[in-house]
Amino acid sequence: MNAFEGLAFGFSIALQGQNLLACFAGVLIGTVVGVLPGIGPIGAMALLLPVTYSMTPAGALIMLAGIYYGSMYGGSTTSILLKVPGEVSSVITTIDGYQMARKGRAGAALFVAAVGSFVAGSIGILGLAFLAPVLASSALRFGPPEFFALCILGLLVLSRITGSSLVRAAIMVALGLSLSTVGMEPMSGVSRFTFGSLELAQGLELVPIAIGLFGIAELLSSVHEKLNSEKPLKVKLKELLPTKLEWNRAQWPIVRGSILGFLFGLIPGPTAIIATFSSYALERKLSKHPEEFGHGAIEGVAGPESANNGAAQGAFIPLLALGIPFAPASAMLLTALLIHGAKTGPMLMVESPEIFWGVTSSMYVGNIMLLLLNLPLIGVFVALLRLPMYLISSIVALLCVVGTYAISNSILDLWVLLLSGVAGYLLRQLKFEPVILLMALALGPILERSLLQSLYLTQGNLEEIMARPIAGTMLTIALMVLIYPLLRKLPAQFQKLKSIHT
Amino acid sequence: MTARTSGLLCALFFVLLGGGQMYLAPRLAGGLGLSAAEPGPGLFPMMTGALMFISATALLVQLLPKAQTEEAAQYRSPRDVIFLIAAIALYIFLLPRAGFFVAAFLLLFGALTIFDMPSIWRRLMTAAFATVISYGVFTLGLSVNMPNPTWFN
Repeated sequence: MNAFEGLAFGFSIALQGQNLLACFAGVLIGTVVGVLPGIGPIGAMALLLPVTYSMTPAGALIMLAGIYYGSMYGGSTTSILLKVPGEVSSVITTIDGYQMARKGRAGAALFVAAVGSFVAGSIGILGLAFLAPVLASSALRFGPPEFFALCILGLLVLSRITGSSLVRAAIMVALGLSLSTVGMEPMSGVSRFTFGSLELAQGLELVPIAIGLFGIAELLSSVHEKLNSEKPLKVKLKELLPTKLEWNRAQWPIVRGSILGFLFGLIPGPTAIIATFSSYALERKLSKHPEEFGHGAIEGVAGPESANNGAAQGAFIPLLALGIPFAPASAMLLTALLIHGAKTGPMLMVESPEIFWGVTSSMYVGNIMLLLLNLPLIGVFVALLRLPMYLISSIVALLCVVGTYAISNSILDLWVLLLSGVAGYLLRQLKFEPVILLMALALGPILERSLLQSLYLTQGNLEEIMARPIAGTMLTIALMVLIYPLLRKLPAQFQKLKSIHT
Repeated sequence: MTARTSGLLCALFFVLLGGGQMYLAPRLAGGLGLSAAEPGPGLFPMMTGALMFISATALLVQLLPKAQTEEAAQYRSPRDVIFLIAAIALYIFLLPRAGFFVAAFLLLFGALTIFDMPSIWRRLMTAAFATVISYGVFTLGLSVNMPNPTWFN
């Protein structure tokens, strides 16, 4: 299936009634999550995982992906009207967006942000449709050693991009993999670490742990946070359209920001944030009015807002084509794929084309929905900011417990949820990154099965795994990912030693 | 408790956890296996236990020499955090015994209090209203089967 056939097939999936509804729900929730400070897209995705159980895997992914890129749209609203970024990737928009709002141009700033996000989303989808199949064409050459190498690479990349120290990240990987060993062993069926519990013999459920680590832990962390009492600036519908001059100044920053953001999305790390700062710097450099930056330059909104959406779309390429999450939100999407029993990695496109192409095409549909939602309904989203945080937090607490119970009507799942929540809260206090733990827990069974199969296949000779071209290359890259930060510190260490000796 | 002390305790906990796993893994039925070509069910847990043990020991070593640069206690009072944990634990305890209405009402009332909603009457009214609405949404709308309360049967 080439990209055009794939997209056509994808639209036939994305435009089915239930998937359209899933897409709408996703982008709407994403926008709300982006608008409300404190609830991130990862927490929202974790919270809604139980709801996706009754959906098809494609529908579930369409909704969860909608939350992710929808939050990028919503994040700009609070940045412009309140000077409070709903999402970290909207931080830079607070500078010129808020200044524009103070000058009575909030509507124009919001319009340009929405159009920029739409253009970036569209460019990103085309990139995804054409680049991902090329990457995934190696699917048929993948055997257990390649899957083993892919899991190792995925875990290492995620460990290195989250900003956690190597040692702390290794502890989280080990803890996640260890928890994944609870229950039946995949090859022999031997019970491990169940301590006689029949419920534990089935292994630990991912969803209660995900909701605990991100939903409950987020609530516990927010208990002492100050409530935002600032009132958002008003915006009228008739002020939404930018003037001809504003539009002319915004066009090229939107195009440049979209491409820049998409390219940044292909790199591991917090690239949406880096892309917005790079776009801002680029626009300032190229602008005929650099002195206006910081005082309400429309280029300072158009470029970065396009860049953060471009990066969000770009991050889907390594996720859908290789099964490697380059951002924490992608890790949550990968977890959802695993929960729904879908093959991850290059096999996704071969074995579940309806998921790959359905999600890709739904993004286009979702972007149109976002454009239609964000402009006329801006007043509704702004009204959400007036909802008191105590009400939102209390309802989120109830959603966490009811959502977890709904998965399998198990009280044990609720205790796992609470325990994971407390653990997630403590881990954050101690500067550990829970997303690594969750990813290791999700990838653990695949990693173990592929390791054992590789050992059987190669008669225990690990050198044979390294000798296989794809597996060897991925393990070499994994090794580089591991040692590159250490190598980067070497010149500074030498300099330090040199200065001590002199 | 200072950040360093809690870090040390945490590292020690992971050292013990990794060590415990390394101790238990070879004792599983089938153990570590006969050879690398015929691995047993204990091999993977042994590897992950070893990774945890080594990384936690490294963290312990990293944290130990920083005694001179000890920073002051920086964590906030955990009272409200403990109350919220207790409110959720109470919900889990009451759900199969007293049913959804009692459990959800108490959780919502507790959470609204912890998150500083003014006026006890508003809290009671909001919790009652939200309980009824959420019951409608979850059981009637989303077909979630709530347990039958054992205390009332």
